[in-house]
Amino acid sequence: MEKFLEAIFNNILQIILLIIYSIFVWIYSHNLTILNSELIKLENSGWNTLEILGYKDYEAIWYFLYAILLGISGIIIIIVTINAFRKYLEGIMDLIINLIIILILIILLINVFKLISVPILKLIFTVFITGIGFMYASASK
Amino acid sequence: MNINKIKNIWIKTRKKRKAKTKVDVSKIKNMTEDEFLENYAKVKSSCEFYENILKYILGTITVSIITFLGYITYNLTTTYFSQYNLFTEEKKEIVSITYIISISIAVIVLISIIVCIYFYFKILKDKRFLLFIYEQIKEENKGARE
Repeated sequence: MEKFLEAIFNNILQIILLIIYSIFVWIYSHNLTILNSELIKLENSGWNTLEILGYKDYEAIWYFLYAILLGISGIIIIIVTINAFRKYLEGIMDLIINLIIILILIILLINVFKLISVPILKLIFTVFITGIGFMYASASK
Repeated sequence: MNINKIKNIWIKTRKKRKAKTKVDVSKIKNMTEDEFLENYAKVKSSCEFYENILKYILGTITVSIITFLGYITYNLTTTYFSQYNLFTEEKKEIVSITYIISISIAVIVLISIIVCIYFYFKILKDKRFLLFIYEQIKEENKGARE
C-alpha cells in the first residue's frame, strides 16, 4: 500500500492532468454525442451540408476546433508523462501507473477522433474541398 | 491508514523527487577520474545531441511548417478578399467557412509549435546546466593538478 501511495504521489501532476483532461473529454463527448444524433437526423431528413454545418450557430465547426485542441493537449500530456517517466522512474508501481495514464489518454484520444469523424469531419471535409475549389477556380478565371 | 501516515509518505516522495532534480555537486567532485570522464562525456554528448536536434531537425520542421502555413494563409486571404464579391450567397458561405477553418487550424498549430519549443528549451536548459557544472569541476581539477 505504501509503495502504491508513493507511486501515486510521485506522479501526482500527471494524474491531476489526466483527471482534468478526462473531465473535459467526458463533457465534450456527452455534448457531442447529442449533437451528432441531431445532425444525423437532419442529414436523413434532407438538409444539405451547409445547412447542417450552420445548425445552432455553426456549433459543428466549434466542436471540430475543440477536437483539434483536445487532440493536441492530449498529445502534450502524453509527452509530459513520458518525460517525467524517464526522469523520475522509481519502481514497478511507477511503471504501471505511467503506462495506465498513457493508455487512458490514448483511449480518450481515439474516442474524441471517433466521435468527431462522423458526421462533422465528413461534412467539414466536403465544405472545405468545395470552398478551396471555388476560390481557386474563380481566382484562375 | 491515518492521515499523518499519508502526509509522511507525501513528504518523503516530494523529498525524493526534489533530490532527483537537484544536481549533487559533491557527488560529482568525489568521483574517480575515470568515472568523471565517463559521465562528462555522457553529459556533453547528450547536450550536443539536443542542441543539434534543435538546430537541424526542430529548426527545419518549425521553419517549414511556419512557411507553409504563412503561404497558405496569405494565398487564402488574398483570394478570399479579392473574389468574395463575385460569389453567390451560398458560395460566399462555403468560402467563409473554409477560410475560418483554415485560419483557426493555422493558429492552433502555431500555438502548439510554441508550446513544444518551450518544452524543448526547458530540457535543453537542464542539459546545459549540468554540462556547465561538469566543465567547472573539470577546470577546478585541472587547476589543482597544475
